[in-house]
Amino acid sequence: MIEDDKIIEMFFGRSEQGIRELDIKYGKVCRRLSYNIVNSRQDAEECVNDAYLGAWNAIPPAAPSPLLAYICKVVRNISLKIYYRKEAAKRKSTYTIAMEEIEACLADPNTVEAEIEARELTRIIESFLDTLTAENRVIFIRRYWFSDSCKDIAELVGLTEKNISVRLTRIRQKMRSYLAEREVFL
Amino acid sequence: MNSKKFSEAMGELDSKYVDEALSYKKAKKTVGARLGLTAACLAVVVAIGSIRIPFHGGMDVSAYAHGTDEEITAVGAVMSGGTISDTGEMKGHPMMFYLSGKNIATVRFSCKNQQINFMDWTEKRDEFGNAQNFTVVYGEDESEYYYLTIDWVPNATIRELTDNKDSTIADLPEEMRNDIIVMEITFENGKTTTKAITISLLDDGTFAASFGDYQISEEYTFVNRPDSEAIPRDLLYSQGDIPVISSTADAAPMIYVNGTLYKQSADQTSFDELKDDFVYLGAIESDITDLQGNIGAGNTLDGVPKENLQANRPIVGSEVYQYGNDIVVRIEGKYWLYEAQTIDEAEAAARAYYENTVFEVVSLELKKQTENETVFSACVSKGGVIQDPDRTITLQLNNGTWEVVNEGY
Repeated sequence: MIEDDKIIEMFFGRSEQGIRELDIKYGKVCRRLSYNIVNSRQDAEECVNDAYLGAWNAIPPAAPSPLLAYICKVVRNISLKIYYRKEAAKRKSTYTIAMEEIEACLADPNTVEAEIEARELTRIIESFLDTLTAENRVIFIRRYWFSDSCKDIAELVGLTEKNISVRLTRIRQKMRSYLAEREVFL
Repeated sequence: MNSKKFSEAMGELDSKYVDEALSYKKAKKTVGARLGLTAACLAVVVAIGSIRIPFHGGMDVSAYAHGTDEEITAVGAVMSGGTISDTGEMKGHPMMFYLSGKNIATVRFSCKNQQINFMDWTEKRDEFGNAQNFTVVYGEDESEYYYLTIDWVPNATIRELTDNKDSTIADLPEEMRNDIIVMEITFENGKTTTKAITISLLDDGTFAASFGDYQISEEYTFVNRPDSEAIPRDLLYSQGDIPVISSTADAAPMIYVNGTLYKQSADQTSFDELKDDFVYLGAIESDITDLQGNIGAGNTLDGVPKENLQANRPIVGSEVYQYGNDIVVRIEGKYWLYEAQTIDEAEAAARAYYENTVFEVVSLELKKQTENETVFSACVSKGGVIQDPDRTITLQLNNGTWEVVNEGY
């Protein structure tokens, strides 16, 4: 399959073949990620197309590396916009379920709500992720970034679905304590 | 909006975390397992060779696995969509696919041994539930073909492995390990072609499949079975018509956590100390006693909790822990056992579903139950005549309410 560098080169050369190659190489991952969030194949298709357009406009001057992580970020952002715009009309997506899990972990009714900047929260989550094993980190990211189902994660990491579910519960519990220690209450 | 803020913060994570999750590979399988797979693949290829006929220039139609978009080829390959274990536990969808082509008018599907479930993600066409023979109108809009999926449902195999503790995949009879889905395709110009997907269950629980031209021979009578009748979408997805199963004034203490309703155990089991295998889930955030007009009534148990970490007793702040499939709740220094409630409500929802149909339930037999899904085999009568074979009804738990997601033969 074509190298990422070649695809970027095509974008720099304004060759639309670059978009086709991007789709051939990463379209499947992108559509799946989007579908996990918007729970509609049609919406997912549109989100991925919008992401390609976004990439087309951003590259150049940007020359993202790794390309897949970059395009996934764009797909996720666009899909979340659609999700929140159409939330009421949607069937329950795995993103909804994953966020409900997190909601339960973050909520703290006994604490006066204190605002925290998204960037600061990102930094704290990153430092929390660094405390996890690589495997647990992948499980956490696959669940709360990619919104993968426990079943899909189980297949990816070679564990049982039940095991993934228990691990996620423990990671959430650990994160709750980690955030509480740093007085982060969302 | 807590989770929204969390999600936004996640979106700003350094790419290295995303990249790590994207490039993660699980530990490789053992040499023995690989050899087993290779041998099985060879067996499948040989089997496929014996049923395929030479290419006869049929119209161009391809099949792709749903989810991975892998093309299902004539050579045959092990599919990554799902597996089954010796105990009958199925994970994923072993064979869920869609067709790609041009100017397809209709496709008649016939599944020899198991059942297939057609789903139209464009929500335009009627569906058939779990069935064996049916015809789907494709139409001239090729972009819709991608959204017309067929899910192969090996319930007979699952039942055999589940019901007979001693049976293993390797011991299963031929018809439980191999299946074929024949597709009689008619194009807009009136031309026809016949394709088939051949599915084989391998010893290690994975599935191999191939797709190619096919010629219907006289011995394959399964193709001649009549088509199942379509179930109108408004009936199939009539969530509003399915009554919410709720308990009344004398309901037991209940708690709703992470999509599951838990009821206090009938013998009121409790533990004095925190056990090692309790996993903390959170604290009770709300109760519904106020909503029922019983303020001050203390333990009046009225209504069913429906929101996460909600109780029907005034126990806000009590700690909740996962304990196997059940939960324990710390109330007044003790850890009280609450058991996951699923089956009674699911059965009631299944019966309620049939009340809106021409069928009358004679009996329901539980076939499969997971945390969020329950499948019954339903013996029903129509106009006083018992229907044979039994129908299958699948329910999923949604916000604490069982909803019918599939029904049919």
